Amino acid sequence: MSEKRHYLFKSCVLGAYYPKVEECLRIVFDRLGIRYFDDPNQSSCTGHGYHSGIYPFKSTLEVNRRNFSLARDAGCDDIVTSCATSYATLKEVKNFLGDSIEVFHGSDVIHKNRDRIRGRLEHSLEGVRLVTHHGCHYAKIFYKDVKVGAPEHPMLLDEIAASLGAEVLEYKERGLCCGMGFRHLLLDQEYCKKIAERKLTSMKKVKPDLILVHCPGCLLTLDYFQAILEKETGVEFKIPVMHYAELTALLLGASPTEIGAAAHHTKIDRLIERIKG
Amino acid sequence: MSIGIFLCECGGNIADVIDLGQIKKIFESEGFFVKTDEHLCSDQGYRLIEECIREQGLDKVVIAACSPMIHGRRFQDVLASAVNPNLLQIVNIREQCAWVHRSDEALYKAISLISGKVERVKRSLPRTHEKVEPYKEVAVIGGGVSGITASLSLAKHGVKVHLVEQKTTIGGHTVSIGKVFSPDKIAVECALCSLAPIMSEIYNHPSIELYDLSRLKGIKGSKGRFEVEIERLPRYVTDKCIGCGRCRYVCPVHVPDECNIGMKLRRAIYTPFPQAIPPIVTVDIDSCTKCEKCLDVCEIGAIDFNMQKELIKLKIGAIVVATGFKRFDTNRVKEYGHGRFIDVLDQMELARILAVNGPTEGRLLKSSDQKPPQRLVMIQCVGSRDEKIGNRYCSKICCMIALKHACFIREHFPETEVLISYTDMRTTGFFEDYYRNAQDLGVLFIRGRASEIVEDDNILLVRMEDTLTGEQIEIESDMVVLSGGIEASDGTTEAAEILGLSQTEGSFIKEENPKLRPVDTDKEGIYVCGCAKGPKDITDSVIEANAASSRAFEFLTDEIKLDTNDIRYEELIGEINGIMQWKRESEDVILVFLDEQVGYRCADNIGAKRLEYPANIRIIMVPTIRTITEKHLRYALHKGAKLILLGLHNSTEVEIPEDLKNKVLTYPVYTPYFKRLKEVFEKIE
Repeated sequence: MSEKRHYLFKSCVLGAYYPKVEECLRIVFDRLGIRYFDDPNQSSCTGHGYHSGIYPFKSTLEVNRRNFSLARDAGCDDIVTSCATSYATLKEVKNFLGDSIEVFHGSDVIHKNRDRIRGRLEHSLEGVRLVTHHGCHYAKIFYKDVKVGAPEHPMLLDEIAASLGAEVLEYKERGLCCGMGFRHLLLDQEYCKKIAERKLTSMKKVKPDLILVHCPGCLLTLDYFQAILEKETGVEFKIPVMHYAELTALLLGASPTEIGAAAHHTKIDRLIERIKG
Repeated sequence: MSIGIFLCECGGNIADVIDLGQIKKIFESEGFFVKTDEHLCSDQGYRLIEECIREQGLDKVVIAACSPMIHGRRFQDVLASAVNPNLLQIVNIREQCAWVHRSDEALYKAISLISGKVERVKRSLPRTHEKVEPYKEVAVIGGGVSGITASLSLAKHGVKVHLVEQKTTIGGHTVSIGKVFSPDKIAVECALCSLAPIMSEIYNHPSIELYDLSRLKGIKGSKGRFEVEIERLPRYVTDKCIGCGRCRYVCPVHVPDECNIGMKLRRAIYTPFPQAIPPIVTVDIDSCTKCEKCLDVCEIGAIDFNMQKELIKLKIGAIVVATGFKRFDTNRVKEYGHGRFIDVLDQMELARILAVNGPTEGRLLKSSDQKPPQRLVMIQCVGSRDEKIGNRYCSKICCMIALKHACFIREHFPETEVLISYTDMRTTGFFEDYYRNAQDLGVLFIRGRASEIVEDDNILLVRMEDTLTGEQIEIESDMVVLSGGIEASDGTTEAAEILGLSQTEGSFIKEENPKLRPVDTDKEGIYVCGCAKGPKDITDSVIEANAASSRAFEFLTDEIKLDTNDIRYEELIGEINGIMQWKRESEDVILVFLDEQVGYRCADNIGAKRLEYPANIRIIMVPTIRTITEKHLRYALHKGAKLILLGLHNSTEVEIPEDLKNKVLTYPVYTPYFKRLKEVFEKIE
């Protein structure tokens, strides 16, 4: 990872559904003194469309070739994405072009700085039991780059959560997708629901206080599907879902408004109250 | 002085790319005798060269053919009566020319390389090889089944053998396996019953010196006259020990027993198993509490806590590397939960459970509740043929191990159902009988690779896709056995590093030629056998061990020729001159100096893989990089070389004069990393 400033790569899903989560990563970086460049000219990686089979690879390639140029013009050697899909899309383009720019996920940066974060915590996750879910686009496409844990059993979020003081629980469907599935979300939502139900049911079994996720798509799916499933099946879930940047920002002292707690479909207020004591 | 140039078509390998007729014309016009042949390496080829030498009265010969690494020595030996070996030079127009460049570029490069060797032999003088007597002793590194076999075979040939084993006993993995599969009959045999007598023979053989708790530390000298250094850790028990075992009963320490892969306990003073060789106890000093109770009961006074580690120096002629494998650590495949779920085992753990001297005394019981399993699922290819883990190779023996255990369980514990999930069942030759036998015994086979194992209400669910039906399935089971693959042992990588041997992708030791010299390494006088070379079963290991001992014996019986490719100052000047004479105006020639043992072979590998690189790269082989002097460098630059690249390895240091530093570059070469060297060739400017 470069010591120079990172090119902070914004996510379209976060921008649309959880605009404050993007802000959280900046809060964390600011508190840690990690330099980044926030570029208003950056365009979407179009990974959402690409992985849904709507955008051809060629246009994805050209859009991101431009993004790489913007990063380089800003004097950045690496790009840090808040989203797992941007991470995978940019890496794919980078490899295709043979570009020298490096691509990291925001959680890589947080993991690397976890000891420094621990020293600055205003609140701790002491007594909070959580489950983690890693984004498929982070762990399963460029599996060789999963440096913490193993490709089928990434431990990145687990180690971050443990360093924040939480107890991390194992659960049966750890390796299962959240259910979003891109193309499926557009064509066959029933299938998505089935997967999300399997995932959430398995999580519920170990009674977690929180689901910690990695990827805007997983956040959206696991957050929004809970109420829908509850209405259809009558089974109650009500498990707060949080993005790693949100959680870290919160523990570093950001207020619920600053992290945009109100944007969550499944309420996270009680958990925040508990953490804030 | 008349020089003959022989051009080899190598079938079409060379002639299809390079217009040899053109080369013939050019050199004939310069007054040389030139002859082209389809296969110079054939017997007719040799005779052709010999006839030409006699008829034409040639005194020096240049052969443009494949790499000198392949037939160079052979040409020199066969034609020795017609031409002095030092007056015969090989030009590599295959690996470093026809296979890596386009036609027109290759032609031009071939001409300049031939010219280089012509100018070299012009300055060569006849030389006789210095011959030495090798030391008639062999070091065998590793005391597993391969090392044991090689040692005994050499000892029976009358050679003094030094057998170096890092553990407290010889026997290797074979002793832990318990039961072994046999190729000719569907039978499981007791491994130790076959091995114990041979181990004892090793111990009692007058020509075999056994070094237990020892490791290879260093090597000096060259082929035939090696000096190796061995570090031997103290056993804290002297040879006076009669193995009565009284000390074991009084020792209060209980630690996991390595021989039962931690499934049983042993004491701090112990023998790993009753048939261990040497048959004396050992103190595990790391777990010993120094209570000295053992001292009280040992009437002979064999225990000595003051023993120190020794450094032993041996003078030996040849080395047999038999450093074996290590079991793939199945914990690394997190989705299978080995280490997380108590009833998920690997095949070696199952072998210990099925062994009469194992933790359950041979009864098939689950670790969780000490009850027999109802359904046991075996998962094949764990850590083999697996890109995610990084082991692309097949570990070769896991299919047979699974079948052996599956058949044994069905025969002795028929109440347990056995399923094997496989990628491909590889039961070559007569092992197919085993496969059929397993099917007859009701073992079920499902084709597909398990994706994960999850636990639900104490039931292990093995999830996979049955790739024959395309269905996703979950198999309920209460015991899962992972068929972990084979990796190069730490001893193998260590030996490769110390001895400077090439390695294959999995860090196993690479043979000189996989077909014709399968147990020779790329260093003369050093041989390799068994799993140090790659995964294989006991039978193959024994065959290889015998082959390696026979090769070592051949080597020691002959006189040894030293440094055949030594090059004099003027000879190297000649070669540089010859190459640079053919530099075209517009061409930026880059001269690359590579040593014979490592760098040159690395460059040959690029050719063997047919990877293209720019033709302005001209490679000159030298015995070692130190052969090159400052004068050579200045001469080459003076003659128009744009850049010079020196391939370095093994912490070779060269002094490059300050003013040449931007013209003379260095690069660390390593034979297996030929793709990187190719990239360097492409990028260098």
